[in-house]
Amino acid sequence: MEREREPILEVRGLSKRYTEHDGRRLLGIVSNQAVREVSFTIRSGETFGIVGESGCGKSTVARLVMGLERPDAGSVTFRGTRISGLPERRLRALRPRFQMVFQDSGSSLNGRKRVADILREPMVYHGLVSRREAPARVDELLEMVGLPAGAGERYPHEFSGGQRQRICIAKALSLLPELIILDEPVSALDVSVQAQILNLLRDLQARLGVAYLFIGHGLGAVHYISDRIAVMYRGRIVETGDAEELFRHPVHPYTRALLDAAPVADFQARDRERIVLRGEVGLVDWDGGCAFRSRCPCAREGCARASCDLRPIAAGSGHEAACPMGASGEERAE
Amino acid sequence: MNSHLAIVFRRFRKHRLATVSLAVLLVVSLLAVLAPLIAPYSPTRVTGGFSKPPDAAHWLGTDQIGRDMLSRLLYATRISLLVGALATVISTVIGVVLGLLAGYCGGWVDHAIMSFTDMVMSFPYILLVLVAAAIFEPGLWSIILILGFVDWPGVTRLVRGNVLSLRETNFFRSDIVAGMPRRYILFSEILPNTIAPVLVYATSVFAISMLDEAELSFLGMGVQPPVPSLGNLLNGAESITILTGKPWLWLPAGIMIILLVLCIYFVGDALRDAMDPRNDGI
Repeated sequence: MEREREPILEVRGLSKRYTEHDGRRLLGIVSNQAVREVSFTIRSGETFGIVGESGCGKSTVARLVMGLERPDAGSVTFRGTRISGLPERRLRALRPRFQMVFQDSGSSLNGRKRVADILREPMVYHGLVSRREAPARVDELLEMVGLPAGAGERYPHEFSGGQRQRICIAKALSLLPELIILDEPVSALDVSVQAQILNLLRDLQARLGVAYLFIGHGLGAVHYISDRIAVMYRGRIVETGDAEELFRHPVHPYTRALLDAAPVADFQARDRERIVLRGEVGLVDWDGGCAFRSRCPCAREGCARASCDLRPIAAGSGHEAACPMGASGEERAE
Repeated sequence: MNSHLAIVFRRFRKHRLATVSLAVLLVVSLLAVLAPLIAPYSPTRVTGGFSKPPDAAHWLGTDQIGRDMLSRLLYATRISLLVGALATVISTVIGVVLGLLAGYCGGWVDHAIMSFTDMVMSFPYILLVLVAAAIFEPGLWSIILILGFVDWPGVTRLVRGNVLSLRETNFFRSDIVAGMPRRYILFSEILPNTIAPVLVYATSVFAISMLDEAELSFLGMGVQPPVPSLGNLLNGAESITILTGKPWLWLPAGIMIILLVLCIYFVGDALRDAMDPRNDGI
């Protein structure tokens, strides 16, 4: 929708393969292609969602983007600076501008430090605030994420999971980032708390204009917060597009299966035709063709040979899907 | 931090045995430190008959050449505690530094350090100490250094393991993400989180060092007479007539070693419990 906004993060052809020693064979190795040729762009102030089941590589994408791991191929460019492959020493100066919130808020905070110290130390180190002004800034941040000002005096274990996640968000915001990567920030929380955190994130975005890369496995949360969405399956983006468009007119059978898997409260809709996934994702290496075909209800002979690159669905909409049976999408759409 | 210490102390006090042990340790240490003031005689001066059993003038009797056994026991405890404490400090410092380096740097540094550690660990321990004691002049300081340089591999492994597991935590990652420098991550985040297990481990190193000192001195390779240590007081028990007929020459030193080592272990055990971060919520 907001095409004119400038891109702040550009990810091109990102790939990562993990190899480890196979204990059963002397020199054998097992390898797993976690991420394969993933590309996307995030523009300033928008939310880009990545959704997929566990093991699809979405958290690996987050770690690669954050420079916590090095990609085998591809590039990550932040505000025109290629940050993948940059030495840590040089990257450190850029780091405050893109922050991250992890899934497990319990281990994200050093249990031996008071919350105020956890928030203060990085800000002071990067010279964003002087030692004297720091306490006021800490209180301001805590208030911003909906915690009482006195909360800084306490230790992380004295807070609930949702409150700890608020602290993590405050910590990310403290460095005045332009982009925050949210790696399943609400997956470990109660449903009611999830909604509070999601609303907090939306409010903060409206106030501060920060962009989000939101990673989740529940389409509901991702759809609620995202402007654009990418659906990942076995390390690849299989469909991407505007959040509303993707939700209303999913093209790839996997996207449809994800949508169909969400529980629906509406009784009338209960008997709708659904795609139900069978089988496991499996760790068998990709052998060309469509990676989803072993579980796909619409799979045809040709799927083993067909290319599974993303292809535009409608010109100019930005909606792209990687289903080799391009027609199957149209078949289903009413 | 203050409140953290208070919590640890409160949890420690729930262990009766450990609290009593700590009190015993403090009293014995105090007696040992104050030995020059409270010992009735000089530990090296001949003050009575040879091998006299305990009486009013010499509460624990006299040794083979007429020195007061109580005074010697107090001074010996002082020496043994000193050996144990300093050897523990040396091995803990070496172990922590090497462990931090290995765990944090990883790669070939880790490989080199851990190979060396395994090498030291796989040496027959007592043989290593004996050879070292034979090469260097036996004496108080060489025994402290020998024990200090032999006990560190356990600490290194412990610290390295801890650093490796801390590296997997999100707060370590979030420090990297926040662009914090290495020194901050090492000294402000990792080190404080390894202190608790190291402290617990150090108590057992302390006990083991005292036992090793006793062993070495008993074999004549440790603290050299006339300086008394708990080990060389036991030296007399090598003779069967003393072992069976003159228990006052070796029994007090033996009891002292057992008492100190047991107390240290009990304290270490309670510390492990009190400092376990899994109990932090309570």
